[in-house]
Amino acid sequence: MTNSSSFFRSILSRTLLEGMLGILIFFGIWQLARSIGLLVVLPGPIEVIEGAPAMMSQANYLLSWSNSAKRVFLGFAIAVVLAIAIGVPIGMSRKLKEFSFPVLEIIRPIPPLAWLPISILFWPSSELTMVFLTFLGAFFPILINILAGIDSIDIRYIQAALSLGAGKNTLFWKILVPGALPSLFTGLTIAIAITWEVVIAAEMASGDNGLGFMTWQSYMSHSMVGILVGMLSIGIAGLISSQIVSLIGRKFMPWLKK
Amino acid sequence: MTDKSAFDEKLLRAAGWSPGANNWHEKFYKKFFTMQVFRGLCGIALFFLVWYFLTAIYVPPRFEFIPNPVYLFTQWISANPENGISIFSPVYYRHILVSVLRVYAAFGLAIALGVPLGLMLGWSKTFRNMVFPVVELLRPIPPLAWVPLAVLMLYGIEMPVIFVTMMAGFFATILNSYLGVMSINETYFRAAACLGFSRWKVLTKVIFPGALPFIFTGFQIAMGVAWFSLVGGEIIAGKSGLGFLIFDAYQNVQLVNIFIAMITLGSLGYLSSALIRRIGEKLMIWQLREQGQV
Repeated sequence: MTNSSSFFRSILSRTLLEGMLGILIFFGIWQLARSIGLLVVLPGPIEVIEGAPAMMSQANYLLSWSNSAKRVFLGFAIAVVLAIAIGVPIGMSRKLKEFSFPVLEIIRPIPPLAWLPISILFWPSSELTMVFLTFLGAFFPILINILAGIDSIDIRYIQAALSLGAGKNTLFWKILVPGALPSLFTGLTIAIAITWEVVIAAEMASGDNGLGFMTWQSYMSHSMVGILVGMLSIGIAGLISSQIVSLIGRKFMPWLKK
Repeated sequence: MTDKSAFDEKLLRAAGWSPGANNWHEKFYKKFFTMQVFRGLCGIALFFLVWYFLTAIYVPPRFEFIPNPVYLFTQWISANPENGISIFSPVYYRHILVSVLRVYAAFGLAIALGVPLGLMLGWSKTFRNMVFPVVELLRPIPPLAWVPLAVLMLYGIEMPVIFVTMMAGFFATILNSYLGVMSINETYFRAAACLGFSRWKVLTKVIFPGALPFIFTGFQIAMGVAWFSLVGGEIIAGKSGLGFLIFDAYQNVQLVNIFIAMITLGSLGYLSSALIRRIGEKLMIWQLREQGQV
């Protein structure tokens, strides 16, 4: 009895009630604006909900999800591997860092999407173009955060380990890896959001399938419901990927309790 | 006497000072001709050498699409370039101006809307409970996914592009302003309450300065993503600007122009971020002093 009442209290807390009220008001205003004719182009939420099943039952809807997710995953995975392979040696050696950092600083500020045309020309297929752009978007945030993570390690830990007779291997696995991991995962969280953004834009500009292309096609055929369903799907896909990344982060770093 | 000065000199050298470094050119020399700068220049030189080698001397398949650096830079600074874009052509500056204006308009809008909203989220609990879920609902949608909607709903070409450019920075600013308010030590609020501050005074004297470091973090993120989204917006929907220049050059196969526009975009983005960082450091000197960093 007490159990169920505390359950209800936690469900019906003030925060949750007000949150639901806020979302309801948001949709209410949207629907009202549509009903009284303020929104001429944009359909109301009811129309979107009514039109969504037809859109989502199309054969290529699920295929769009898997195609975009595949690109995001590939680009992200390549970026993680390369950023770690390049970032760890650069972060550990001051000479190497001074040697390579200026070059990276020249390339880094160029927005990933500015690479779009040249990658269309350079890579033989549009699939490779999109994976390359996704990689590019994810690579620099991860790299910068690995470098920052290694920099942030307290020199005294290294000195203490050395004076206790730690070898190179121990130093790497016991000091460097746990010290740089939180920052690495910050980078991964930023990177996964950027990958979705880049994939969407690349698909809109040069793709022939995927969630971004689906949204673009809806735009071409002036299907507003399709655009909104596309946007919503992209948002949900991004949210799921971020959750997966932070879940993995918590698994790898059990000492960071939140 | 001479012995002592020789000893002094030795001591100074041992401590890393150079005894004669009082005149400005020696100071300049010492500051800029370090191993660090030398290694950096070596890295950059190697980068350009590899680039030159792969595009001019031994060209692997598909590298023919990349112009060689010497040709690229001579075109960039030539008075009559083959493709119409160089530092002497007015078109180049028109594209730059359009892009810069768009980014700063979007950035201004993002902070003008984002900071008050973020502070409000931190200030009032009821407001937070009601509005934060809506923000979280819209935030995961990437800015460029708004492009089709923006193009159909807003008038003209400028408004959709600015809207898309604004979107990412807007959420970054809201979130960081809100986190800034949350980061303020509770005792400050209690102290303000003890001193009889009105709610308005709490906002201007406690909340705003307390949240400023986070707000500036938000600005930096906003500036970065603004350039990022601008390129996307201009490529997909624009009729002018550097993003459009890239896409236009692609369609006319003017490879050099693509690279000129890319490098220009990179430099402008870098400069904008540096500018924000400098302003932030100037405005928050009190905080650095508190931490003993100045």
